[in-house]
Amino acid sequence: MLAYHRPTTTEEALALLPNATGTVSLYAGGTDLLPRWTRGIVPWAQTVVDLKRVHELRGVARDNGEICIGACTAMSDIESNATIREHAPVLAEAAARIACSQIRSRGTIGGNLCNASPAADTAVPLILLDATLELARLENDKVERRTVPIVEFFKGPGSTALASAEILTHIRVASRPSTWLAKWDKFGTRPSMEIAVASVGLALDLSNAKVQDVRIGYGSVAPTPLRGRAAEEVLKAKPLTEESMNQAVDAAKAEISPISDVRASESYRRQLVGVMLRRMLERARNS
Amino acid sequence: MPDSTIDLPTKRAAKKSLIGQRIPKLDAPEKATGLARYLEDIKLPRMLYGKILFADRPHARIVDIDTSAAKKIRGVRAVLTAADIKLVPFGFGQDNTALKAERVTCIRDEVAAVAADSPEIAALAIRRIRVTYEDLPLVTSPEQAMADGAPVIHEKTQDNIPFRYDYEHGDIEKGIQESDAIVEDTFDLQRMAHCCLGTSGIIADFDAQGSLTLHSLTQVPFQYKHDIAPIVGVPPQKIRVIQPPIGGGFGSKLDIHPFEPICVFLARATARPVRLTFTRQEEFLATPTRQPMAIHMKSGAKKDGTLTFRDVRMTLDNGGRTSWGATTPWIMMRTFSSLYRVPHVRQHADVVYTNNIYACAFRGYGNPQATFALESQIELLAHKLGHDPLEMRLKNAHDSRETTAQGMFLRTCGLKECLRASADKAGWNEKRNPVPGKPVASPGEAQRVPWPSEAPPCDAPKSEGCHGQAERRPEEPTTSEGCHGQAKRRPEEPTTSKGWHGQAKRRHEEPTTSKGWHGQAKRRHEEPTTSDGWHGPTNRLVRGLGMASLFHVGGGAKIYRSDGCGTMLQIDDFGTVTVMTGASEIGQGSDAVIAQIVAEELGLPLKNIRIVNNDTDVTPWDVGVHASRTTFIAGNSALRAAREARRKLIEAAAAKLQRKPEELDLSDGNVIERATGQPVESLGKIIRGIHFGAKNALVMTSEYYEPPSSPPDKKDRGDISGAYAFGTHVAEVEVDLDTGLVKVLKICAAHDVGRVINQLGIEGQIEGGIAQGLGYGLTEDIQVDAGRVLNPSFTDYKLITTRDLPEMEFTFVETRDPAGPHGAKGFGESPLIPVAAAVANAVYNATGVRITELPLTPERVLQKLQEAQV
Repeated sequence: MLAYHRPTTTEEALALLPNATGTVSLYAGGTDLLPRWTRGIVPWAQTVVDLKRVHELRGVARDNGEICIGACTAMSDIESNATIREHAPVLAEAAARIACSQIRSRGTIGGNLCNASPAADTAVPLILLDATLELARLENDKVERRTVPIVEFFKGPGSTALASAEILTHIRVASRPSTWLAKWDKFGTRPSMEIAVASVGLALDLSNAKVQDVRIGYGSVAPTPLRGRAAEEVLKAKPLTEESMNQAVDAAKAEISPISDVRASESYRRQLVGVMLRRMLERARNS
Repeated sequence: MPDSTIDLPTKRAAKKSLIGQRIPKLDAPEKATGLARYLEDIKLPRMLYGKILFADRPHARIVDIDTSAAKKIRGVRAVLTAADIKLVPFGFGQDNTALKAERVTCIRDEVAAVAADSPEIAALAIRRIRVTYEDLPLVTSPEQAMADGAPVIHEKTQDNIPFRYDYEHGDIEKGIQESDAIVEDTFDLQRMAHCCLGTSGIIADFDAQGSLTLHSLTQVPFQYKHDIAPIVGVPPQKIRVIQPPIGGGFGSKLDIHPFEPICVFLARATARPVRLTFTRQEEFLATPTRQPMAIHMKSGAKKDGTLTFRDVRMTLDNGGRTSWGATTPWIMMRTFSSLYRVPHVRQHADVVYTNNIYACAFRGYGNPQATFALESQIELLAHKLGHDPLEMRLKNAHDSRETTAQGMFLRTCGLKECLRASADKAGWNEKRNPVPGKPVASPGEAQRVPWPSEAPPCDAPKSEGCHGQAERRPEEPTTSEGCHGQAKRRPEEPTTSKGWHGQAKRRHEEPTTSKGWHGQAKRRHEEPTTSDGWHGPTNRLVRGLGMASLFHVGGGAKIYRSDGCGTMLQIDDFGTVTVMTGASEIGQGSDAVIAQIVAEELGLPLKNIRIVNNDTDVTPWDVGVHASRTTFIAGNSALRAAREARRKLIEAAAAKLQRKPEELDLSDGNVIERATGQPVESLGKIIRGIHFGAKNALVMTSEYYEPPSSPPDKKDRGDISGAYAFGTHVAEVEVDLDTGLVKVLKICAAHDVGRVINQLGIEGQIEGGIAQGLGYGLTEDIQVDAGRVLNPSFTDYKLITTRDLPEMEFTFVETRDPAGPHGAKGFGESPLIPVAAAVANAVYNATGVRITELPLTPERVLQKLQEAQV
């Protein structure tokens, strides 16, 4: 590391990026970056821009019926925030399942997303919530912002829609009607402190005994966290029946593209997604 | 004085005995507060930092090593390759050298080393060393290594089988003929990493006279001194071994590892002290593991359940070099021969070179592997013959004062009590499925045991029982009927959610109102918004109960000509006792046990006892901390040294007070009148009277204790240990038939420990053993492909965490072994040994599917269930 910066405003942070020496890393909680650096998986960045002191990037606010989450908000704050717990509980659940409390109090939601791991635990809940991500860049010395839907943010393992001098500043999710149920679950090879071998999220509006609205998401079974459009399509505007649930499970297994690795085989991941989705649908129907 | 059994005078019984109490480890405050000075905290003046270049090729010829770029880096003080040092073969197979000269035979082979001003410079220099290799044909499995025309890994072993072990008693053919049921399986067992919290390391430091001080984490300091001397060319009498606090051993530190002599060579080359420590990744890649092996086993029984024979053929993957791990069949054969009575036993083991990483000693020393195979087959035989597996085990279990077929004399054997106690606690008759895979009822139904989340709160008064019982217990008759000292512990986290998943109920992490060690942590913030887990119980969850026992040495193992331990004891003018013991402390708790034994004997408070156990210039010889031997052997040694000091003190007091020695006793720092318990003189006065009075003497004693064991004969029979440990674990599991997930709900462990000396310590050993055993059974697996390790980090090498522990209930069967200190037996390895076997048996009971491979990962279990169409 040749340079370490600790800006306090987004503008200041953005201004550092174009002129930085050598490779640049944006640093939030460091829970992914530090082990990778120290294990030599990636070389140390020559310039580190530490975003933890940028006030704008921290905290959770209500904004025009939306929940606006600063990218540098720690997982422990996501997990305990009253607004999130009330209006987007599925996100709080996912945050609470990440690693251990020490990691959760360092690791941030923005870091979880920008790291772009297919196993990122907050990604699938945010897919269910139709989250939009706010990205900021500097243009003619002015902070310009654009928004990207979460499904368009992930481009591949470790790769995102962020441009080189751009920072993820906020994650926005809309509040949902009370008929809207959302669940997310992950499966690992150990009960606690686990990286997902596969994860599944399901959000449903089942009012009037019909699937009025549905979102399905998968983690760790494709190069990016994935929205399950095919499975959703099968379920839409119909009552939840044995037949539709079976079709949804088949569609889910077909639309994912898992790999075999040290954690699990491709076929096991496919089976898991089927079992998890099936159980979620059954529980939704019976609830 | 009586020899060594518990035989306290009746009047002393009134006084609270230290034996059986719950005593925190003496170094607990240092370790808990972070003040303990581990190896990495030690920085000697002028010290350099060492680092090693590992081959990263599983099998290759070294064509050239170019160190010129590394040597040019500022701050690099030495770069060594095999060309720079005298290569002396070492290790159990004499097939290792500190640095490798011509050929590397596994990825962890050490090729070059650097000493530099900082760890970062050393790491940079390592990256600048250029090695040219010529890859050689790879041998990745024992089968391949034993096939005709396989590449030869070490020239002197043309068949790639450096070691073979054979054992036999009885006549297998006869056993087969006598059998009404025979089962035959191959058990495939994985590599497991020790995962010591402290990674490996050493400091080598020469003085001006050429004497060498090693700050080493070895488990065997005296043997170490002897063995490292020829490797580094320093006579043993000029070597001093100091052990800083050791962050775990588990057998990993029995060997001399190449990094240790390498560090000495770096210190010599630079004439400066050098510290070499491993990163966690290096620890995973470059330290040996538990032996992976295939055990082919055939065993039989008669209709009435009597065991007839065991025929075992094992193939061990030795890896590219040999460590002590190659000798594990020597211990495994004892389990095959002597866990339950079996008239006909044969074992053959081939230890086979491959180009995989190599294996060393690991808690249990092959016994978890042997026990897994053996206890799996008992269950199968019981099922075939229609017997209750508990009854079948009881029928074949040994009794006290019996000599096993391999010649081991069981002065005491509490196996039957362990079997009964663990089965009772676990609800064997109520909860077990009489037919494996045919659950009596699904857990969804009301009569089944409730989910942990629905379970009534832990019965707190009952769980305090162990305190109460420990206090009530001390002076009971020496027979073992019944089980004393029970401890019950539930995991801190009552699993509020269903299954491994849906653990989303958020918990504040602040400490809860736990009633000391036991009381269940109940106060939890149950926020309303969290999930109850949609992944909850369904009719696809089945439960079952499984048991497994263990047999292990509990009083050392006579591998060397002496299996003894020395103690030197001195009492200063103020009544402070310094106990210099040869026994090493690697976290197992020998410090507290030895202090208790000495304090008890001298009637002194525990705080008056100091233990010195880590410096070969000071401490007397000991064979090392292994074979669950320290409580038994170092305990006996300390007991005898203390008893001699006690004799001297009482004699002096008797002379001074003009009383008979037998009328006096020591208690609470005083000489007391035995009949009344009244203090008659302070102990300090007596000690100072000896020192400054007419005698002008100090109270110093010494003892070298050799256990009543003997080396095995040519047929490997003999009474190799001073005592033998037994135990039984019963596991209750729940298996998810759709995901293959095995959840261990409860483990009831009953152990014949001879006698509890430190209940806190022994409970810690069981808890740790269960955690490690569950890791072996469920999650831990060093995956190796083409000689390379795929998961060298805690990200993908899964230890069981505290939150994953099941409810645990302990029963101590106190057989009071006549040879043990206060009747105690060794125990360190025992609690790990049966865990995986008990869990696999429980999975069998729940599903009817016998899985013969470990670990029982969800994926593996699901695959086996699907193959069996469950």
